[in-house]
Amino acid sequence: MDDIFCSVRVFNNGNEQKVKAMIDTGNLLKDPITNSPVIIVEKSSLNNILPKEILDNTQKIINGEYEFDEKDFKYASRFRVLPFSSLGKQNGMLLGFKVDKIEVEINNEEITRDDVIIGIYDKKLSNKSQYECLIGLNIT
Amino acid sequence: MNILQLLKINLNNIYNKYIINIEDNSEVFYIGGSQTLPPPLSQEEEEELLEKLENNDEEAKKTLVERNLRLVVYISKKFENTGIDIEDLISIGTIGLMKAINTFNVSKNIKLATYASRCVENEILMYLRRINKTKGEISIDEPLKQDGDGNELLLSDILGTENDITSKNIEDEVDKKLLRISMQKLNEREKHIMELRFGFNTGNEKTQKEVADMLGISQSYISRLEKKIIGKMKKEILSKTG
Repeated sequence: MDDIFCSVRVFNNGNEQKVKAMIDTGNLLKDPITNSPVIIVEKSSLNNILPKEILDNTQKIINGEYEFDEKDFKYASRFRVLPFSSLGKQNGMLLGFKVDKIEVEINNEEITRDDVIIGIYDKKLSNKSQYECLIGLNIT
Repeated sequence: MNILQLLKINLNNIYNKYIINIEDNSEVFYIGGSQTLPPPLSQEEEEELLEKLENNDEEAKKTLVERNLRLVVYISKKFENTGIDIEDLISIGTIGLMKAINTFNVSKNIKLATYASRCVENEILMYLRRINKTKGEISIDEPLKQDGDGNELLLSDILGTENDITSKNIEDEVDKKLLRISMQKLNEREKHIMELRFGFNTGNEKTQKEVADMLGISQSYISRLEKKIIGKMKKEILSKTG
């Protein structure tokens, strides 16, 4: 039972964030351009990684309505567009963000990946806040 | 279906059983993406989506972005030689694409691909300009080298103006004054020729041939006149400076 939950640490630009993750075999999401694996993280867990202004405006960014200014244009080159289809949503798009690296602690093993994209999820993944992140088998 | 897929499905079922025991309204998280970069739209597909776009259909916006990603990759590749990572270029380009679709006006007589291409390139160029602007900024106190004793050579140590910067300006002023005085000693025609040849008033220097044609005389005559005039001016200046 413990195996379906694990710990993930996200590192970017000298900042760190630890999240509880659930291993979701149904997560097959990849970045269409680079084929990098995607992990899904609730936006409320990314306050250490991205500025509030960006986290609050993910839909605006995807809609092309957001103007990056002097202080946040350095993030612009890290965004990825993640089209997805899922049960209940055929034509979805997540805003993705390329981070420096993640460390996954699973089965007393630590796996480090530096090619992972974070899919920013605007809502809650778990009703009882048991986890803030979904990772797929393609990470481990 | 191969063994791996079968395994994945079975595992998924088992996990689902556990999840459903833990929480009541759990969602089943299947999320899949495309295996390759989505292909470009056919003309019919594009027309249909553009119609939806005019009605501010959010889904149509997203599909238009998704199906034009190949265009972004194509354009971004042109900027690979700038030393910026191609993935970063594609990200910036994608932002350009998203802006393009947001601002595209179907009634204007331009194809989406053309308009989007311009926006993508524009976005990348703006990014490059911003990057280069900040790269060029360097502090005056920037240490450049260190010698064996740990003494630093700062940028401010090698920055400077020329030694004669003040004296040169003063000398130039004197020269100008002398020139003016010597010009006053010339007659009207001589003054006129000098002004034409050296552009004192207009900044426009004419050739000897041009001046000769203007005055209706030969170029060789102008050449002799010029020599005489300069000799006169030289004599005048030397008499003042001794």
